Amino acid sequence: MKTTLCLLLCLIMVSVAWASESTVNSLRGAVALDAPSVPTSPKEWQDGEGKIMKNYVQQPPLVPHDISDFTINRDGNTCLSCHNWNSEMPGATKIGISHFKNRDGKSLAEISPRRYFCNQCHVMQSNAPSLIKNAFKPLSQEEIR
Amino acid sequence: MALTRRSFLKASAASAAAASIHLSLPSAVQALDLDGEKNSIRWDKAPCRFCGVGCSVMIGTKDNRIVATQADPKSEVNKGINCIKGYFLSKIMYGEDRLTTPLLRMKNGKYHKEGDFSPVSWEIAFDIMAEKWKKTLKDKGPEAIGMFGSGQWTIMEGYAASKLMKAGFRSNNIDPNARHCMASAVGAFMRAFGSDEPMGCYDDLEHADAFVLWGSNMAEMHPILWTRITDTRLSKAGSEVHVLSTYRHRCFDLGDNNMVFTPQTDMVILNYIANYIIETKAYNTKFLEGHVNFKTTPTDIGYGLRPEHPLEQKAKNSGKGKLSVSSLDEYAELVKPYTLDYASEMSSVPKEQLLRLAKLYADPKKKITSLWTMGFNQHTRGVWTNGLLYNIHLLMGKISEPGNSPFSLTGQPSACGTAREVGTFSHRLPADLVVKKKEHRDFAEKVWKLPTGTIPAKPGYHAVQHNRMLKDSVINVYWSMCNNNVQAGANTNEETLPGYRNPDNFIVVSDPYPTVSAMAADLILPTAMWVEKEGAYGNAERRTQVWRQQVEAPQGAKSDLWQLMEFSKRFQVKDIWPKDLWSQDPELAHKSLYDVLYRNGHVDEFPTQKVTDDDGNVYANDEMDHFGFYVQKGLFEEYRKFGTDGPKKGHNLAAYDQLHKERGMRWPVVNGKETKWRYREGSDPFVPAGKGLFFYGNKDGRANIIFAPYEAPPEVPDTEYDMWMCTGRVLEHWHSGTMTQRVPELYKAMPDAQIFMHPDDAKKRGLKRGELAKVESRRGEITAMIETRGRNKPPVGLVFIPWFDARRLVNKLILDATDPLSKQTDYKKCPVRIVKV
Repeated sequence: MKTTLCLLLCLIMVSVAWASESTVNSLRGAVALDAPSVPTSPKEWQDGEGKIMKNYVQQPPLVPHDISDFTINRDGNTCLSCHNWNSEMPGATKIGISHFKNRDGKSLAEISPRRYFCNQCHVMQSNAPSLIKNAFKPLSQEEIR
Repeated sequence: MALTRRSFLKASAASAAAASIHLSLPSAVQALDLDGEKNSIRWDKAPCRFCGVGCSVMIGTKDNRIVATQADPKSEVNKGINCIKGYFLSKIMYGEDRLTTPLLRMKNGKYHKEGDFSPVSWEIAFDIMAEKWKKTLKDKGPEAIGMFGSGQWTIMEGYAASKLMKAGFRSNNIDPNARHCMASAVGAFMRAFGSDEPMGCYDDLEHADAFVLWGSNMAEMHPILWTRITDTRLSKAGSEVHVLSTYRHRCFDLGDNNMVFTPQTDMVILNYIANYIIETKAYNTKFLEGHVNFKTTPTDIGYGLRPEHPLEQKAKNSGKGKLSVSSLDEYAELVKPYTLDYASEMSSVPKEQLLRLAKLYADPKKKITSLWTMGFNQHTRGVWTNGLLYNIHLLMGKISEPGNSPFSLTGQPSACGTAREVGTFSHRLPADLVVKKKEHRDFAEKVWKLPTGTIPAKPGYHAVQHNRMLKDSVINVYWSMCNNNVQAGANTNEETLPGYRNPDNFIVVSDPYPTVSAMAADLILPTAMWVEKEGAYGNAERRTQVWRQQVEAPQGAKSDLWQLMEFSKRFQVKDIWPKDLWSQDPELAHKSLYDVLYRNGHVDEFPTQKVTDDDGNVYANDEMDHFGFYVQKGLFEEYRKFGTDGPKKGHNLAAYDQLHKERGMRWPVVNGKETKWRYREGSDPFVPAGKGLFFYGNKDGRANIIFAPYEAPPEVPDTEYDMWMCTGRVLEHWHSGTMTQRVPELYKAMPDAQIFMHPDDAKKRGLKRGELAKVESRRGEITAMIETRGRNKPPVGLVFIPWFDARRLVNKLILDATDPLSKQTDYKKCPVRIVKV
């Protein structure tokens, strides 16, 4: 514990020293372009039962649990077992009505084949802290009322 | 029993779920009391900022800020779907490190190559730039200045830049980053068809019976086109998907015939298919007689390295590509050695799979769309390999009709629209014209109202050569816009960085964000991006899409267009052109480049106006306000003359006003009507009546089947560097990640570029999943984490490492070898060794 704390402190001090050298940094921080790669470490996927708030209503929901071992191929789609419209899994976000329309807007009985590969639009979230903060602001409730 | 996701999955897998569901009611009900005005968002169309697919998105704006984005349901391209990147476009402009002031390297209040970046005004930034440019022009002439552009420039920006360089500074040393992605495709189009860009369009994805992916991971790189292929495959009986790649990836999840081949042996497989078609006499005799010529190309052409490199010294025909006339019989003899046995042995693909693929192409009833991107293009034989695929489609006559389509995909939003169509390459002019042809230069000078001889005839340095020439102090001032070439260019340690940091050179980088390229520069210019300006992009299916300015850029940031035009005001014609040139029209002498290039009666033809949509919403246009005329429209309409009046037919673009109203239009556009299939009568208005099919890019209307043999890559794994490394993109990040890594959701979904590796290879080296390992090539080293269970599953002996991660800079490892014809780098085949840190 003590060692970890010490290491952490050292790291913070090093990054402060780096930061003071220049007014502007790339995503490498202050690590020079010809220096070795910036160290990194394994991340964990968020794997809870809760949902991740959307930024705005048109945004596809992010995946709040680990799907690394899920199957999505011509033989099957693990996601559908909980998220299909007729799944009995409580709490699982059901696929939106948009996903039951084909390219020409015709309503279908089952999910549209063009929406079959869920992972093109829905992605997991790791515990990596943001590299750079983002100042995007959706419309707040106060702004629309 | 409490039902959790895990237990449910378990239960449903065992088909034994019998749980009662208790729905809970919300604890408090909120009254819906909304202000209609406040609750409304202004929605307007724009093409996506990322890849070459060219999806349309709806931008939701409120009070000068983007508050949401969504897929455009009216767009033919994507019909209401985006990929994960597209859905987060709303955030790409709001990274907290947006640049808002020019930054100059300074020591003691003055510019210094080794100084620290310090804020300066635009006035001072342009002062120092102009000083450096003028000195260089005076001391060494136009060949010592260079510009690196982009397939992400708007069409008008690329056009304005090309004019400034080729006609203003009179230097052809302008090249786009599209050199790294599309040059081989262009080369092959010109050689086979005499005209750039695909004959087919995305409609082929619904018409085809079969899809063949050649070294393309569309599931991640062209996700929306993949949704269209998935749609066809899963809903059309008898349809099939064949995937060829050097490692397993997400497209294999849909594939019916998945093939992992040894790098570079795609050439062998392609020639085998041609041989199979000939030996089984499956070829379309009538088509060959009516529409095809046979040609051969010089062989042993080297690898586009520096001339003193031993491999160049050894090559018999370094850089040569002049075609010679051949025949079907001769061609048949040349492809004869490419037997099934040989193809299987070379590629490691089982014979029955190769045979299945060959039979598919040879079946006259199957409509086939073949798709490729960087697997073919980033290839030291890229032009040849693109051509080998055209050979197959031409042998069978499977081309230029719904579903039968050899389709070259693009990686950038306007690689086609800006880099290729505008011709921002070192050898090109708009609409397929080239600088070395006098007739073409004459036409450009006429449109631009410039004296004869303004545009230099000698092609300039290409992208890879730029870095070499910077290192060698041949180019001394250099402006890079709208790209990140220090991260994207090959051989960072030996060529790129020494060139940028060479004390003889002054490097300017324009970017919205501090990229690694910006950090390697001497002056950084803060830049307005995407919908902070009005613009136009052209996608992979020849679709030109225009957008309006949606919001203002952060205070201090200016568009590339503003920067180019403002900078041009600082140069007087008589100071930088030779007297015998300007004396042809003495009135020019005292004009600035701005007056000559942009106030020529064309570009400034359209006065300021209100930009509105059909609902009457009014949009800003900062460049129009600043310059006092409708800059974007003027540039576009002048540029359009190259298509409507130029020497190469079939490049007509739609009028600017019409494009504002449409979800893009596919050129050639004649009488307001777009073209879906080029060269086909009934679809393409340039095909003479009664011809049926006419490849009018070539004088005789015939396409070329060009034989080329298999030739080995410049480096192959050996005992020292024992693995192949392939680089590329990932779904979540686009190119060098400048925009996507600043969107927290995208960054968190793919935080690190990992080493995708076979578990046996990891085990052999004592490496565990998640562990940091060192990757070394002959040119450098990086460290990254091992991933043995990820979405990409390489075979033993190959690793895949994405290039988005600035913290690793994988291109330090890559050799700057190119296709000697297209000058495009091979980023897919680099021998490396991987060791414990």
